[in-house]
Amino acid sequence: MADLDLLQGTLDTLVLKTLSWGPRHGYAVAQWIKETSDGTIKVEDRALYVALHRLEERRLVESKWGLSENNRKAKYYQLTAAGRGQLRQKSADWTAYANAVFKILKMA
Amino acid sequence: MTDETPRKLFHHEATRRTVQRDVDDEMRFHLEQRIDDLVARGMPRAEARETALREFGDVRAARAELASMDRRRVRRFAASEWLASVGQDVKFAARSLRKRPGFATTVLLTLALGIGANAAIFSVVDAVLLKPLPFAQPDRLVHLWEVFQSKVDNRSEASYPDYLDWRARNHSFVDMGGYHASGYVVGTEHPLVARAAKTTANFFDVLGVHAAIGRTFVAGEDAVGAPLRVLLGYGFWQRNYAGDRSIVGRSLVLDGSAATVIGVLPKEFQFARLGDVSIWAPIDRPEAMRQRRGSHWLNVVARLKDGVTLRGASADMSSIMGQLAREYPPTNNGRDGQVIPLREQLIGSVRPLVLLLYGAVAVMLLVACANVANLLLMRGADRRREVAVRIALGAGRGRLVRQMMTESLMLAVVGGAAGLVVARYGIHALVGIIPAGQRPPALVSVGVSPTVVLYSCLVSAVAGILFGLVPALREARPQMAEVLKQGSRGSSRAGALRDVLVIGEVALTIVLMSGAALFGRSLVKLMSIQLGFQSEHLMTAGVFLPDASYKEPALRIATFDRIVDRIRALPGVEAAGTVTKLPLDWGNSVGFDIMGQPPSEPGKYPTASYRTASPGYFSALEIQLSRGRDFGAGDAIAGAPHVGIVNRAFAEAYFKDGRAIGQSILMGVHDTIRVVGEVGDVPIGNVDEHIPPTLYMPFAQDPDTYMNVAIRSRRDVSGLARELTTIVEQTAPGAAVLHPVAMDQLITDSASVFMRRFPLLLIGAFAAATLVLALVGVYGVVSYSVAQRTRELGIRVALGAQTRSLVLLVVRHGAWMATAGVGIGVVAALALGRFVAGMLYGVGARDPATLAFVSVVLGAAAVAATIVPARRATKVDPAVALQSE
Repeated sequence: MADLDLLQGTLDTLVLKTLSWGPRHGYAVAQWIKETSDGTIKVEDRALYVALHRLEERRLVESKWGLSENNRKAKYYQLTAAGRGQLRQKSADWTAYANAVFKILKMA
Repeated sequence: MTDETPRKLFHHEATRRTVQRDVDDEMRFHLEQRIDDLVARGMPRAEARETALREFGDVRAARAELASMDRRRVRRFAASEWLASVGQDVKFAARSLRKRPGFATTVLLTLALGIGANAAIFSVVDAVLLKPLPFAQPDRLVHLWEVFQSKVDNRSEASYPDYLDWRARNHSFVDMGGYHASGYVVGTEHPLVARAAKTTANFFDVLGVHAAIGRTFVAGEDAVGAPLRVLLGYGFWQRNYAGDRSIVGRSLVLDGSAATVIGVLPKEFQFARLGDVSIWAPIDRPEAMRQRRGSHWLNVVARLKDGVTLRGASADMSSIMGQLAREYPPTNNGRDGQVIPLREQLIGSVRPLVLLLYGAVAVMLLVACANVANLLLMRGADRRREVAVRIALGAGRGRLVRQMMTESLMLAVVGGAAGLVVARYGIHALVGIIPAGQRPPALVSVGVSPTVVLYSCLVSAVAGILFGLVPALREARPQMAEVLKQGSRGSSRAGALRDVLVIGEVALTIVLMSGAALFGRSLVKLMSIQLGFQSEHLMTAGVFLPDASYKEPALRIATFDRIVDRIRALPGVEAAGTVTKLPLDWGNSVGFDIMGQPPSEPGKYPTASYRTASPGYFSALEIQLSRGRDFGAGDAIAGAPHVGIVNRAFAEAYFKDGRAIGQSILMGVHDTIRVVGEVGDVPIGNVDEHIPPTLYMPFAQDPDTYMNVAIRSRRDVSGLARELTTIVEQTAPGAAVLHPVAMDQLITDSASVFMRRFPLLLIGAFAAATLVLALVGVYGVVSYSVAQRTRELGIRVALGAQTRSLVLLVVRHGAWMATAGVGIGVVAALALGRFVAGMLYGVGARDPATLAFVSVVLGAAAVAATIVPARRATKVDPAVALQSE
C-alpha cells in the first residue's frame, strides 16, 4: 500500500534501523521489515539489496561473510559509526516531518 | 528478533575478480532461504522456487546492477578496504593469542631471548667493527711498520731518524705522524696514574681530528725542550674535571712538572691500540734518543695522497728503506717497510672473535625460530576447523596466509621489543666481564643505539617470516575444506616437517656445544701450562716515581730499597721483591754480543728480553734458581762489576752445553756483564707464547723510575694495597701506586687467557640456552606425536602390546631425530671448524674426542627428554582412546 517512490529515501533509513540491533544478512532484513510492518511495507527484494549495496558504498554499513544458522555462506551487514550517526539524523528528521504533517492534518 | 548474532564474521576485501561471485553467493543465499521457508510452510518446491524468483524481481538485472555498484565501490575504496582487513587480521591475531596465554608467553620469552642476545652482540659488532673510525676519510689512513728480514713477527716501530727520512722522501703520503704509549703521574697530593700517549705535533692533523674544546698541537710543540702542552681525553675530562670548560689554559702537574692544558678531544675520538687514553702529550724523548737510528720506539700513521694505492705506497716505502739500508748498514741492513690500512690495524685483531660470537648468537636465534615454528605447526592443527570455515566463506589462500603471518609478525615484533630490554642488560653484563685491559675503547659508547633498534626490527621481521611462513603455508591449503567433513587427524607430512625442524635444532646445538667445548678444553690446557713461578698468593703493584723529582739514580735506588724493606716488615708478608717487568709483561729488549764468540754483524745482534730486579725477586716469585747466585748487596755498591742472571732459554741458546755461569755478555760499547746465576724460564708475553732468552740485571746497576713490586702473602689484596700505598706515600713523596692486583687475576685477565675464557663464557651460555631449546623441541614434538597417535596406541594396547614395546616406540622417535641431528651437526661442526681453529690452544678444531663427548651428552639428553611422553604412552586406556574418534 505504501508508495514506492516515497520509500526510496526512507528505505535506506529503515534498513539502517534494522541493522541497529546488530549484524544481519539481507534475507533477515527483508523478513524483519515485512514482519514488523505487519505486511504493510512490501519491499521488492531487488530494491532492498540495491539499498544495502548503496549504503555500503556510502560507508554507512560494512559487510562481512559468515555462516548462517543453517551453515550457509551468507553476507552480513552491520552499521558503521557514520551509519549510526546517519540513522540518528534521519530519525529525527522523519519524526519532525511526520509531526508537522500530523499537526496540520489533525486540525479540524 | 528472529536472528541471533552469527558465530564468526570475516571481512574479505573484495577484488574486481571476486565481485560477481560474491553477488551471486549473496543472492543465492537469499533465494535458498526463501525457498526453504516456503517449503516449510507446505508449498511444493517447484512452486516455491517460482515464487521466490518472482518476489525478488529481475534477477539478471539485479546481478548486473549489484555487481557494477560493487566494482565501483572496490575501485574507490581499495586502499581503505585493505587497511580495514589488515586491521581485522591484527584484531583476530591479538584475540587468538590472548586465548592461549601459555603459548604466547612461551613464544615471546623464546623470541625475547633469541632476538635480544642477537641485538646485544650486534651492538658490539656495530661499535667495534662497523662504526667508521672517528677520523677524516679514514680509509685513506695507513699504519707504517719497519720489518726485519721480511718476517712479520719481526715487525717493529720506526726509529726517529727513519721516520724523518720517510717523511722527507716519500711520494705517496700527504703527511705522516707518530705516537707511542706512555703514562703520567697526575697531581702531587693524591697522585693518580693516567694512561697517556705521546705524539708528534702533526698527529691529529694527519688523522683529521679537531679538538672539541681548545686546539690540538701546533708545529714545534714536540720539539726538544718545548714547554709541555697536553690534550685531555673526553672521558678523563668528564671524570676528573666534571666537564669544566674552563680547563683550557689551566695548569696540571704531570710527573712533577707543570703542563698546560690546550684542549679536550671529542667524545667519539678513540685510537683502539692505545686504549682509553687520558692525556695526550707531544713526544718528549731527548735529542740523543731522537738521533739513534737503531732505537725503535715510534709508531707511524700516514694519510695516502689521492690516487695512491696501498701497493704503490708499499713499493715507495720499500724503496726508501732500501736506500736507508744502503746508507746506514749498521742499523738498517735487512730492514723493510710495511703499509697496513689503519682500520685493519685497529680492529683486525678483534674481528674474528666478534664475528664468531655473532655467528653463535645467530645459530641460537635460528634454533629459537625453529622451536616457535614447531609450536605454530602444532597449534595450527587445532585451528583447522576455523581455517576450513574461512575457506568455505570464500577466503583465498593468500588471504589466509596473510592472516597467519600477521599473527607471527605480531609475535615477532612484541618479542623483539622485549628483546631490546634483554639486549640492554645483556650488553651491560657482557662489557662487565671484559677486564679493563682488554676492553676496546670503542665499547665505551656501546648500547642500544638507533642502529641497534633498527637492526632489532629487521631481525624481528625476518624471524617472523622465518618461523611463520611455513606453518602459514601449511595451514592455508584450500583442500582443507575436506577436513571439515572428516576427523582432524594430523597428516604424516606435517609430522615429518616437525621432525625435520627438530633435527635441524639438534644439529645446530651440536655446533654450538662443540664450539664451547673446544674453548673449554683450550682454557684448561692453557691454565695447566707450567708458568715457572708460583702465581698463587702473589700480589703485584706498580710504583711510579715522577721523573722530575727522582733524577738521581742513587735516590731511586734508595727509595725503592726502603719501600721493599718496609714491605718485608709488614705482618703476613712472606717475601717481596721488585722487577721492571713482571711475567706476562712483554717489551724491553736489548741487543748484545757474547764474549769469546764471533761478533755479530751490524744490525744483526741477538736480542734478549731485559729486566732489572731487586735481590729476593726470584724467591718472592718462587722462580727456580738452578745455578749460581741471586743478586745481593755487593752488587749495589757503587763501582761494583756489572753482573747478570740469565734464564734457561738464554743459557741454552748462547752457551755451549748451556754453561752460562762465569761467561760475559757485551752490551753497548762499554758494558761487560758477567753471568752469575741461571733461573728457570718464565713467560714474557702470553702464557702460550714461546719463552725468549731473558737477561736480568740488578736494579741497583740500572735504576728505573717505574718498578713492579711483587709481594708473597696470604693476606687479601685490598688490605695489602692500602698498606703499600701508605708506605709509598711516606717513603716517596709524589709517587703513585698503580694497579694493585693478584697475580692470578693478571693471568686470568691476560690476552691469551681472556681470548679463550670470554668465548667460552659467551658461547657456553648460548650453547646452554640452545640445548634447552632443542630439548624442549624434542620433548614437544614427541609429546604431540603421542597425543596424535592416541587411537593407534589404544589399539596396540588392546591387541596386547607390552609396555616395553610402547616405550620403545616413543623413544625410537626421539632417538632417530637425535641421531640424525647429531650426525648432521658433527658434519657441520667439522666444516665450520676452520673459523675457530686460530683461536684455540692445545686442541684441534676437529678434535674427535670433543665431538664425541658433545654428541653423547646431547644424544643422551634428547633420549631422556622422551621419557615422560613415553610413560604417557603406556598409560593410554584403550577404551577411551578407541572411543574418542
